[in-house]
Amino acid sequence: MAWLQDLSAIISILVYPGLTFLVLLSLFYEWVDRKFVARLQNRYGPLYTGPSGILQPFADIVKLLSKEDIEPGEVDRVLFRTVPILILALPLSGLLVLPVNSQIALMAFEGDLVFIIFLLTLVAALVFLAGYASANRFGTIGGLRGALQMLGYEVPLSVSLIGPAVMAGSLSVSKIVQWQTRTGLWIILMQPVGFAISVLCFLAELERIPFDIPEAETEIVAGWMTEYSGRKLALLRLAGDVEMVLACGLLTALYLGGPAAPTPWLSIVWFLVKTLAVLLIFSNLRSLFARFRIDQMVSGCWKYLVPLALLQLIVVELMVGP
Amino acid sequence: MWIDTVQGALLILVCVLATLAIELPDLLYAIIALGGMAIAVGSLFWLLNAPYVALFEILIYAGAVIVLFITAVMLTKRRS
Repeated sequence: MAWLQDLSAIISILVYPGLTFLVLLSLFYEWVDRKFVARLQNRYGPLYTGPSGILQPFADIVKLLSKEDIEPGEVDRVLFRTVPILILALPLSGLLVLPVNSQIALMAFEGDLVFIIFLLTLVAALVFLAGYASANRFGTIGGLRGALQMLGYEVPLSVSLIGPAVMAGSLSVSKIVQWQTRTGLWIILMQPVGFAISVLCFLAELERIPFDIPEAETEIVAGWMTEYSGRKLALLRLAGDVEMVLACGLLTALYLGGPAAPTPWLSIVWFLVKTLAVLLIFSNLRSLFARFRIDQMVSGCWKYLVPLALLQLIVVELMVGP
Repeated sequence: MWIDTVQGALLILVCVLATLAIELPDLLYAIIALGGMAIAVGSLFWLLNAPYVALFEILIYAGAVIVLFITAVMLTKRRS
């Protein structure tokens, strides 16, 4: 019966709770986000495709996939073609180490928290490469802003994400979730500052409104995405959605106790409820704020977020004890 | 046995990428080669049963240092 186990392993990676499920979930979350922000701004949001427009993100992706893919003559072809593939593949592989329907992730290994942080850095570096490769003024400026912004938010994000790891005594996301289940305490109760800093930094990582400086539509068209069209743009859009699920899932696992439910089959419901709560925090902030300037963003990160994150880490160390 | 083969391949890859990082005329590609070298060294550490060294090699060298280099390169002019 070895082949049956192999088959179920393959299905769990490819279908549920693996890639297919997570991609569909990311499209659904984009709809929730758009609808919620629209209601906050007294608009209707997507309305016609499917019930209440629930199929709109899917329709957008299909439409982009079927459109003509234009490649300007001046672009750096290798980079220009590799970036959309990598930028989708990296968050997807990060999702496999997140616990979704049980306390242990599909690909859990010791140190996978560092692996996720590295993936997030790499995605931000790819944003710069995309802008650089497209040989376009708006693209280059967007890419430069992306790299500068990453210099701002990366340090506080890493420091505050290490906080839960110190508390649980492990660098594995699954083990942090298990620690929270065992002690019955959510880490957000002990590290509210760390959670707030992570939410702010993930807003910058996801390029959402207070920090959508690299793709500011009103200033630089679409920033680093200006030259992308057709299939490549579809991949970039999907990558943004998948990254949003990754951010929500990571915050849920590290701070909100992860998918730990009284009965095992409820885990997925717990996961969905908690990630939706985090998503609504993101959407709420998105409709509350206006865009910062790049210098305000970077200096704010270094002046306020880094000291706060370090302070949080010191407090955690004192709480854990020697 | 396959571990020996993979190790050998990774060692060759490290040498090739390190040479490329020095020799490539385009600064950006040199940085990408350096990042690839850091990832290859990290995987070598992983194969040698040193997961923490591997992870921090990848996080610091292939992540943070590369980002610093990229922000430095963006202040230069690209050779056409």
